[in-house]
Parts: sequence; structure tokens; C-alpha cells
Amino acid sequence: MTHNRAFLKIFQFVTFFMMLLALYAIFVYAPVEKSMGIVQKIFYLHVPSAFLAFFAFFITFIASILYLYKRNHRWDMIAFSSAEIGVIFCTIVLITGPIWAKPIWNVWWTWDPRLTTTLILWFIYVVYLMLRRVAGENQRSTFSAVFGIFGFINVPITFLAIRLWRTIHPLVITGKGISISTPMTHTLIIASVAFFLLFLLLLINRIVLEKMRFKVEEIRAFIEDKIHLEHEKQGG
Amino acid sequence: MAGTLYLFAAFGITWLIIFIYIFSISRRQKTLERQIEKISKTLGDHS
Amino acid sequence: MTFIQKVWAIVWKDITSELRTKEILLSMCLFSFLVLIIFNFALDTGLKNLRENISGILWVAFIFSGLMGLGRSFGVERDRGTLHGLLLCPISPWGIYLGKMIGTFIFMVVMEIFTLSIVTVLYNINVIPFLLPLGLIIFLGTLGFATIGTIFSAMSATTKARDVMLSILVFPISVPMIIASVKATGIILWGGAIQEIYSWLKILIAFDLVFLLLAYLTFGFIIEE
Repeated sequence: MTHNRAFLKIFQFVTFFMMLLALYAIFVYAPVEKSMGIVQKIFYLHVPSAFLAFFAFFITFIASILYLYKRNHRWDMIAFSSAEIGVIFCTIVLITGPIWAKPIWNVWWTWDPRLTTTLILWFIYVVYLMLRRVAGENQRSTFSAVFGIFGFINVPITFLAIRLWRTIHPLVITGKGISISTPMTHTLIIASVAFFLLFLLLLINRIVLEKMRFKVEEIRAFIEDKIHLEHEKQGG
Repeated sequence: MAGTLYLFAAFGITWLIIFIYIFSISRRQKTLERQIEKISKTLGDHS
Repeated sequence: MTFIQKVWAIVWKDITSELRTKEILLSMCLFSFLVLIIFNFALDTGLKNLRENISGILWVAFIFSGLMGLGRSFGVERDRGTLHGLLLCPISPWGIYLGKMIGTFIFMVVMEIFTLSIVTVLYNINVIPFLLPLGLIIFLGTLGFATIGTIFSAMSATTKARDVMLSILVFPISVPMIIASVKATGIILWGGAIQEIYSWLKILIAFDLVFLLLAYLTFGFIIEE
């Protein structure tokens, strides 16, 4: 345990350092983009968050399959923790996106395939978290695992459907391709690594928390059983 | 100048979300630790 | 009994019990009728934008009413306490799933035929010339909706806040199916050629197949309690 703690401390420190480095890279090292100006720097938050949100949901998907297959509650904990952090990152994506879009596209939101798919993705995993709250104790893991699988499989089909819908009604805003210079690529890589470390740190802590909660519940059930037995003994 | 405002709004909100989340995790962790302590104390009293 | 006979027995059980009370079908049909009336006033569908909106109105009516039927599919079994009896039947979970899904599908199709005839009269749209392609789209869309709906109906039947849960589980997953059905129906009703809806049909077919396969793989887990 102490070994793990020490490791976590070091990990925390490295993450913090990478975060500072990323901030330096974003604000000092990366040049200001010519056509969009300084607003373009939001991109370094937006893209890593989007990448991590998808990655988190992918972990939920894999862990859900493994849970149904192996029936080990450890996979359920991982799936749940990852989904929660995925929702956090997806929320960041959905907030930073419009803040970038307003000065660049002059609208907060367009029903572009990627935007719409991200919004639906966010919805799916918010529902996933809600399902875990309302489902009964002994079905929670199974139900959420099934929903986790359905939700993830649904995403590519949704994207295809929305894209097809948009090709029939062409978009007003086009040509949003961003020309990236080398320092920008470096900055993006540094920011991605920093965010990835942050993600891992959050995930580890969240899983530890979930394990603790599980243990407390186990102990509580055990004590309640004991008390129940005592009462029965006294009664009979 | 408006660009800077948007930039800081984006960074501010992102960090706010992450910090609130970290705070909520650590708070939940503390509550559980307190519960475990309480339980072990009660068990110690009984035996 | 063969597998098909067993599945049919479950479907037939639902149909006979429905024919006795008629509560699900009646409420579904009435509800979709009400949706049509409400949309008429909410959107003020004059002749000009009628054709653009009608496919959306149609599918909102289908899906909202379908949701009522879905809520009853496993909900009724639970209320009557017959869910355990059903699970004890000598049939695989997949058979139970298929039986329930086909039952929901049939109820929805009856409701949809009713809705289409109401639309023909009230919105003055003649659907007879488009019957074949329209029927195909409605068949695929309804199949997809019943496929995912039955899974989530079984899931939400045992949770708190059953009906609310069912709709928020079903809607995010059924987005591609709704988009494809609405668009394809719109193209057909505007008098588009059948070739124009091929890509939408492909999405609908992919959706149906993928989710039927997923239901086959996962339904056993859901009802094993």
C-alpha cells in the first residue's frame, strides 16, 4: 500500500509538471494562428479532451464486455469510473467547442455531424450514469454493462446517419480545416500527453474510490448479517 | 481583444470543471475513510 | 415444440391478452391521433410546409406511441407478477426476447396503419401510391425501434422510475434510426425516386442487424435475475 502511495505521489508530481509545461507551450511557445488569432489556442484544450472522452468511453465499452464475460466486479468498477471521467471530458469538449465557434463561425452551435454526434455521445453516457443510480443493487452492473455496449456501438452508426443527412443539406460553414505549423503540432502533442496523464491520474483515483466504497459496503453487509444472527439467537 | 476573453473563458471553465471533479473525488474519499475509521472503532469497542 | 412455435406461443399469448383488454392498442392509437392534432396547431401546417414536416410528425407519432406500447411490454408482466412464470418457460432468453419483440412490433404496426389512415384524411396526403417503399421504411424503422425498445423495456421494468427511464434509455440509442426513417419517408412522400433512399435503407438495415445481434448476445444477462 505504501509502495502504491509513493508511486501515486510521483505520478501526481509528473502530471502537475506536464500540465505546467503544456500551459507554457500553449501560451508562450505556440505561435498565434494568423487567420483565427489567439482564440485558436482553445484548440489545445478541445482536441485532447475530445480524444480522451472517446478513449474513456472505449475503456467503458471494453470493460463492459469483460464484465459480462468474466463476471468480476473489478471490470464494472473500471467501466463506471471511466464513464464518469469520460462525461467530464466530454462536457469540456462541448463547452470549449462553442466558445471557440462563437468568434470563428459567429454561432455557438451548428448541427454538424461531429458536433451532433458528440452531443449524443454525451447524452448516452449521462444516461449510463443515471441508469446506475436507479437500477437495483444486484442488476446495476449487468444493466449498465449492456447499456455501455449498446451506447458505444451506436456512435459510428449515428455519425454515418448524421453525415448522410448533412450531405443532402450542405453546411453553410465549410473550410474549417486548420493549417498547423510545427510548433503547433509540438504544443498539441505536449498538451495531449499532459491531459492523458491527468486522465490516468483521475481514473486511478476514481477506481480506488470505487474499491473503497465497495469494501465499506461489504463490511456493512457483513455487520448487518452478524447483528441479524445475534437477534435471531436471542429471539430463539 | 474579444478573442482573449473567449480564450480565458474556455481555459477558466475547463480548469474549474477539472478542479470541481478532483475536489468531489477527494471529498468522497475522505467521507469513506471516516466511515471505515468509525467502523473499525466500533468493532474494536465490541471485541 | 420447435423454437419458432415456442416464440409464436409467446407472441400469441400477448395478442390474446391484448384482445381481451385492448388497453395497449387503444391507448397507442389514441395517443398518436392526439400527437397529429397537436402538431397541426403547433406547427400551423399550411399546405406550403406540410410536405416538409409530415415525415417528422409521422415518426414522432409512431415513436411516442410506440414507447407507450414498449412500457407495457415487460411492465405488464411485472405488474401482474407473471414475469417469473415467463422466465420459467422452457425456452431460451433469446426466444423470450423474440416473442416480446415481435409482439411489440405487431402492436406498433397496427397503430401505424391507423395513424397513416388518419394522416391521409386529416392532412390530405395520399399515401396509396407510395405504399410499397413507405411500407418498407416503416417496417425497417419499426423493427429497429422494437429491437432496442424490448431490451430496454426489460431493463427498465425492474428499475425505479420505470417509464421515465425507458424513454431516456431508448431515445439516445434510436437517433440514427429516427434520422434515417424520417429522411427516407420525407423523400418518398415528396415523390422522390426509390434510388434516393438506398443509403438510408442501408443505415436502417445495418442498425436493425447490429442491434438484433447485440440483443441476441446480451438479453440473457438482463433477465437472469
